Amino acid sequence: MNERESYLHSTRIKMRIPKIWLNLSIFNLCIVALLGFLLRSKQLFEMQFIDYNHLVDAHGRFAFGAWVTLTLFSLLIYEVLPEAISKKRIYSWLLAGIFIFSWAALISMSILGGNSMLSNIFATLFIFVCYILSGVFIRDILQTSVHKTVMMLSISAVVFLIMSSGATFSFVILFYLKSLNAIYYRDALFTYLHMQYNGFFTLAVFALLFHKLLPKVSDNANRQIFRFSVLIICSIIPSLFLSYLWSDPPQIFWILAGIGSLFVFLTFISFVILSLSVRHVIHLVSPIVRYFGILSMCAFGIKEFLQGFTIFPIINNAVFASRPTIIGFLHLVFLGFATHFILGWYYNREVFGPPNKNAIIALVFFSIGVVMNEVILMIQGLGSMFIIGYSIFAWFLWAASIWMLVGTLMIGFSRIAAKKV
Amino acid sequence: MNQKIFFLLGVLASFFTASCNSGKSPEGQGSQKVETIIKHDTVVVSEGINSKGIGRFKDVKLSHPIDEAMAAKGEAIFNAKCFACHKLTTEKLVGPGWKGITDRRSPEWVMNFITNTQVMLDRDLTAQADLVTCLVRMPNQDLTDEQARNVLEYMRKNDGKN
Repeated sequence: MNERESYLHSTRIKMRIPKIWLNLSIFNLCIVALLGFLLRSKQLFEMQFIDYNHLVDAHGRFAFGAWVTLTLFSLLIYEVLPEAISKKRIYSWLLAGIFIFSWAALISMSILGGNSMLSNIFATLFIFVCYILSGVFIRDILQTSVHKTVMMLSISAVVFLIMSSGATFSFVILFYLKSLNAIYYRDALFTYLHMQYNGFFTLAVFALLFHKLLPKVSDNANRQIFRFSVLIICSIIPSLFLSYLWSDPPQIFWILAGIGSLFVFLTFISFVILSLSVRHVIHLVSPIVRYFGILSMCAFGIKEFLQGFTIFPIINNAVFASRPTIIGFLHLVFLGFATHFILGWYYNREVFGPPNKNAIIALVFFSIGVVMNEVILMIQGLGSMFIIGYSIFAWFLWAASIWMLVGTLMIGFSRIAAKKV
Repeated sequence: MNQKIFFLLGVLASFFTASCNSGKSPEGQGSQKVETIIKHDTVVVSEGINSKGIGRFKDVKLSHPIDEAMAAKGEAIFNAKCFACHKLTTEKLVGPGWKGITDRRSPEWVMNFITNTQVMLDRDLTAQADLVTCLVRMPNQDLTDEQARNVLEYMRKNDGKN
């Protein structure tokens, strides 16, 4: 058996994730796509029964909680931790809590809005479940012999997830204090997004990736992976201050943001060097997994590269004042980076059954929709900076939302059709 | 369910209006009393007010008929910057719908809101009443005076003015 066959054989070892979490995560992805479609439709058609702001809150929170958090946590628990630890019942209960409170928050936010008492209660319960899950996970992973780099990334990921809750509580406090302070509100929002996207999502993805990669690469590559991991973790706090520059804050913020920008660029360079040194490993996996892996990592690289430039005031002002640019950036990380990675992982682990054409078509179809969406948002965002815009963009984005919705439904059917997992 | 939502919105609007009103007349505010009527899925409407808002625009000269060139430039700005949050009908998206805005607000108020957004949201009662339903503060769009005037002209065209 050659190296590739050996690797492929190892991936066919049954996934330990209970089927229920695989099924629910894919179902939740379909719901996220449906909400996105409704939001795009509301822009174009008269839909009085939908409150756009309520649905945006619901779409965002559900996407974070019920798709990415649930999925990444499931993968960290069942793919990284040894079986003897991951099979503990407490994990099932806590993942169930994430699922239930995500759905409860979705329903309450859609109807009553993100600032209603009920929505805040469910969001708070969701956070408390995350706290417990994070604590249990950290306690358990520290008892394992998981590679130190993977352990460092995993623990950092959940720590940043916990830190993001501070921003969530800030929203609640600002709302109940009836504060109209735009700076506090937007800074809390950007803090939450940064801790989730650049913290939890990014570090969890790399923890999973390196958990598979480290046994396959040389000692030199191991060291490069460790250096990259340290850099990316260290970049998260200072790069947060890049998000605060829009309000022209005191000088100390600019200094910290400058340090953050430097770290971001260093991380990008380290990422490029690392990618080049381990590129041979990509041939161990099937073409479709390779495709998703490359897309995911390209999205990360683009994100990292662009983020560093927001230290420049003219770019910072243009980016943070432009809603399409912000949405484009968020979807670059959420869909381009995290979702592509997860779907590639799922395919590699035969969540959609043994390699089959229908699953490939579904996944690639969805991926094309993601790329379309991102390209249109990027063009639209650049256009808004130069006061160039066309109403046809709204229709293109609507078409992209339909494309992605159909793609997720096709992925769902592929999962249903899979018999092996 | 709709009646409960209207009631809650009314209570919330009253609370915000009461708590935001410091008892003094804000600078530049008209002396007329602010009346607010909440309509389903539309911005809070202020009647009987002739406020010019807060900012440097005290007297905006309007062209009759509509200056089509200005309106076209305003439309380009709308497509580039505004349409992500506003619709051209009465329907609320992130922010209020634009239909009828030139009937509800003076041209000076509109110009001041576009160019002095944060101060208006902090101190103008009408803008704060809109904030109750929208719940999202509009960020500054860094438009020039000329661009803001073009947007106003496009709003007038959208409202069928001549």
